[in-house]
Amino acid sequence: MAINGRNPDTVARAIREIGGEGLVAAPGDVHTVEGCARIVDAAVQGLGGLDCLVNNVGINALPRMMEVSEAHWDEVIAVNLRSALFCTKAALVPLRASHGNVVMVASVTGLIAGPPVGVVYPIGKAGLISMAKSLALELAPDKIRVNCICPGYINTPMVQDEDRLTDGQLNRAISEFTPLGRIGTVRECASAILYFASDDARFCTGSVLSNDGGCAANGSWGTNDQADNPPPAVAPQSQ
Amino acid sequence: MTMQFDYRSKRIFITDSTSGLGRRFAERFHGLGATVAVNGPTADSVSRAIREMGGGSRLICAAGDITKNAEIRPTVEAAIATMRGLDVLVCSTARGDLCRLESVTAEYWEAVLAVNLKAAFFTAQACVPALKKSKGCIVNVASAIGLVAGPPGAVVYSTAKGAMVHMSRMMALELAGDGVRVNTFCPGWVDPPSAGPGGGAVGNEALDAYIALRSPLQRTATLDECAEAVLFLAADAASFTTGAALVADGGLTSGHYFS
Repeated sequence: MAINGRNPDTVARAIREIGGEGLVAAPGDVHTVEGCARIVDAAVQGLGGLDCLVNNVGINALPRMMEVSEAHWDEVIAVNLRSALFCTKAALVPLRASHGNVVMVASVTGLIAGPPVGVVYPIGKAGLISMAKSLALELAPDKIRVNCICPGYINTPMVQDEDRLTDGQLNRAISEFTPLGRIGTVRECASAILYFASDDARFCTGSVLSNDGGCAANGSWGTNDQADNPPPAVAPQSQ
Repeated sequence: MTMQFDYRSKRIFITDSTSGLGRRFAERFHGLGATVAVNGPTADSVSRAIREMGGGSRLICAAGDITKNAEIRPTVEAAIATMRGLDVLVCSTARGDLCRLESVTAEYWEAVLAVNLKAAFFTAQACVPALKKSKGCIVNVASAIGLVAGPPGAVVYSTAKGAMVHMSRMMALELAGDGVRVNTFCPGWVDPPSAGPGGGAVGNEALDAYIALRSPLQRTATLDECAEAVLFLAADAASFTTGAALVADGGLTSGHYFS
């Protein structure tokens, strides 16, 4: 397995912490197209081939629509969307040789529109879901599978940073609007990726798997907050 | 019978409206009484389009290359000042040429994303203050392959249009409290502007055979059929529709069709 991160020191530390044999350092920055190619080339060289590419990078900030600058737009789209295409392009030759697969890590925010803060992130993640489906069709003749997971709110450093920025509102909101009533774990995301990467998923391509405690099914109806905001006694007429 | 729309006294800004779909949108809105700001990259192309449409005080020249971010705000603001406000923004700028993954360059990516996605975001941002005042609406023109996978070679276009569909939903929620609606129109195969009335062919034999085989209605859409979907989304008839993606694709996205 090849480990990527922007900083060589953090990559080395991660490899030490994971421990064991067969770990390759592939540090580098996916902000640029050239960076994507360099990272994947280093990984493929160190591994002697490639069976699975996981496009996992994601950055966010919380401007509302009217506050989005061109610089913010360009950075989020480059990292969250463009890098997935150019890392996959760089991995094409070894993936063709191995009949390998690609897993895109998108987000539930790319499936259903969410809170109005951080508007570029969901736009990029929706693009990533479309990219996964189109690449699945384009690369099917090469026997390369391309799938996509859409995690909900997972206990990652990024989400915890956002929680601090919103004075703890985010974690409270997560437990309110997630039908399973809690934030997800990183291990629960890893399980979904392991499934797509494995031979068990050999007939899955172009699949989009929500891994979100029910958020995507829930839309904006809310569930666990109904003690404070009960539904009206007479339900609105619906079809 | 066709629906009757009345756009008298409405002010419309349509991106990339000197030719193709955007041009037909401009002609139809104008024909229904609207004042239309016609946009294209150069003053020459816009002036020619306005002349061909018959000129008059309800056709406004809004020349500016909105794929260049610095040109968006001045272009939009000048048009809004001339029209004394804005009721409808139609983002119809699109570029859909095919390129397979192994041939995609950084330049191609940037150009396709700028035209199909970024221009629409920043044009909308520039129009929002005026749309809040008029409780107007935005129609983004995406594509059926923003909803389902595109054919091989369409990966970058499909990425941009999928993102655009979702961008409209995000904007719809953001602007709902201000009474501004945001929807997406998703056409499938559309006639080239040179096609005669009735539609049905793009003029490429292989592509026409493919469309006859794979598209349930077995033909392309006419420019007018696309315009009518946009006229509906922008009208009071759609006053409770926001965040929606309306397809007019001959059944293309409904499933896998065997003729």
